[in-house]
Amino acid sequence: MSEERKPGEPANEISRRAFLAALTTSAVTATAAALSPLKDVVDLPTLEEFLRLHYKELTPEDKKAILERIAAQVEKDYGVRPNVTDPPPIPGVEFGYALNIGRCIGCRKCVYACAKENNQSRNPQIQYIRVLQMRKGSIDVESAKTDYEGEVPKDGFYYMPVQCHQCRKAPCVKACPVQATWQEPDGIVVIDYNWCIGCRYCMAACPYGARRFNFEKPEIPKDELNPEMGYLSNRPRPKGVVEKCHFCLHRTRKGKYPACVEVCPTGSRKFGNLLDPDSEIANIIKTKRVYVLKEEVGTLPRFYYYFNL
Amino acid sequence: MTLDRDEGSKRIPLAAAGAAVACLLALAVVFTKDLIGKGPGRDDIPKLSPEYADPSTVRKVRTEMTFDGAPCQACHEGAEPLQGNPHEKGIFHEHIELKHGRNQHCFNCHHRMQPADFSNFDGSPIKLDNIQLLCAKCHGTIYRDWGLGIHGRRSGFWDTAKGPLKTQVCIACHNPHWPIFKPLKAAPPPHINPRTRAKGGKTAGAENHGGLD
Ligand code: HEC
Ligand code: HEC
Ligand code: HEC
Ligand code: HEC
Repeated sequence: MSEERKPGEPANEISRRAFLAALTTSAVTATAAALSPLKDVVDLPTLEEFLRLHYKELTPEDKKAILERIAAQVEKDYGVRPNVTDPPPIPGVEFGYALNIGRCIGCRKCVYACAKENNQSRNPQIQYIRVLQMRKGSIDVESAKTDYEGEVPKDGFYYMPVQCHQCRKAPCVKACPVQATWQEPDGIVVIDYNWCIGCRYCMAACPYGARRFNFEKPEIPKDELNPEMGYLSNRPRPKGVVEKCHFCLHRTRKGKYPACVEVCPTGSRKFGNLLDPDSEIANIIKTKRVYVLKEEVGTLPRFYYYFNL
Repeated sequence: MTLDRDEGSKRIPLAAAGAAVACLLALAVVFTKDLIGKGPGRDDIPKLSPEYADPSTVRKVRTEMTFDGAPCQACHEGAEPLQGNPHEKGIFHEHIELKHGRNQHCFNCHHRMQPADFSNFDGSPIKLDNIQLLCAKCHGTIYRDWGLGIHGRRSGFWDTAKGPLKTQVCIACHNPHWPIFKPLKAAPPPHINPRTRAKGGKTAGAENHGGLD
């Protein structure tokens, strides 16, 4: 056979070895490129972060070091020196929330005050509060609308904002395979964003649709970053973790009202210590007709809806 | 027949080899540039409109009783009770639109001798600083709720050991002459994030399973 290339013939064939080499190189390039998004998913943890203990096992010194590390990272990313704290639950305090659905007009100011206070991603948009518009006389959550616009309240409708209910029997806590979410002694269900593996089981477990997932790295304009941060609350989240309402614990554990209560123009949102018989929340439970959403699922929420009478 | 049966010497057409390599390199470009799985653009992060997070009340509470810049006392010396048909005395407070249910008389609220003050049950004056006592005359249950923090709004510190509690008076939210709470313009509705498909309309049901976020 005359397979041999004769000297002087045009080189329109290449050796198998050379071909394999070229093929391998380009295949490696393609694979590397395909995997490249991983580099921002992982946000590779430092060794310290990697070897860290669970939040509940951290010593005060560990916590201090972690808060310092977060502050430095935020300063690097946003050019603002934040005040990162980890306020502990206050003994003798169990938080409760009540919302007057007879007064709420659906203006959504709470939604935006919350996003601002809690450094929620603007793009893609993450919002802890959903305001449902429902026809008067019905409580059909499934067919409620969330995309109404313009002047509110609309005739014949009422509004029901929904956010995390801080359940006493929280299904999300049970669903978490790694104990990245748990209930604190003051009733707030918290998430450690460094412990969350992003499996989203908690989201499937939540009957209120209150949890949100960071599909992308959260984007917050530098000048809108709220520098008052809590470790378990509004510090910037990494990509791939779940977040939700935490009753603004960096405010409320320091004695302040949550941002949504502060902003509500109608005064429909009420917050306080359930264990204090003189708090507004205790008074509402004593004197008003109170109702919890999806009572039948047995989650025992700390978030109550009430009527005027 | 040659003796050279070495693998390395097998020949592959240049065109085919070139095509395979080009394909892989093209793939590499697609992946690095993220041409298919393109997430939402990050270039301009939308700002929040400051008014959506503005905690001020719907009305400004006045601290002084003035009318057209003049204190009430300028025209109402307070020597004699206002009476008679005011319209005979000229047109002054015509712009006051009284749409307060069956409460249609100025002196249900304003003091007869000195309208800069308000009138209590026994005719004694209520000052503007204590305006809630005026409303309490007729809205007893709401006033009770307001005192307990159930009606109206509290802000500042719930834990008064740590800081001051701030309450809002009735007229921060209700115009006394036309007290019904006026409609507001709603802040924009939530986006449907581009990465997920909206399931048959933007109803809450889809979201309840994390579908939209
Ligand atoms: C520019 C002069 C002027 C000023 C300033 C003024 N008023 Fe009057 N007001 C009048 C006149 C004139 C009348 C008509 C009546 C009268 O004397 O009976 C009147 C009548 C009234 C009445 C009775 C209306 C009725 O239907 O019987 C009330 C209430 C009243 N004024 C409240 C006020 C209050 C409150 C202020 C301050 C915020 C004020 N006025 C400031 C000129 C004034
Ligand atoms: C429900 C009680 C109530 C009634 C009824 C009432 N007022 Fe007033 N009025 C107030 C209060 C409270 C203020 C001050 C607070 C404010 O304006 O926010 C006030 C303010 C005023 C002012 C000064 C502010 C302005 O808007 O110019 C005038 C003038 C006035 N009233 C006139 C009248 C007249 C005239 C009538 C009868 C037609 C009347 N009011 C009926 C409660 C009342
Ligand atoms: C003299 C009695 C009286 C006083 C004083 C009074 N109101 Fe009223 N108010 C009424 C009556 C009567 C109604 C109408 C109730 C109805 O029609 O069912 C009413 C209705 C209202 C409403 C509901 C309005 C609506 O259209 O649904 C509001 C809000 C209100 N008052 C606020 C106030 C405030 C704030 C004050 C104090 C500045 C005040 N009222 C003082 C008698 C009074
Ligand atoms: C933070 C704002 C705010 C304050 C402060 C406030 N209200 Fe209201 N009030 C509302 C809203 C919102 C409604 C519901 C109005 C609606 O449904 O249109 C309302 C409704 C009412 C009504 C109508 C009756 C009802 O049950 O719907 C009365 C009467 C009333 N308020 C009286 C008062 C009195 C008296 C005070 C002061 C002691 C007061 N309000 C303080 C926001 C306020």
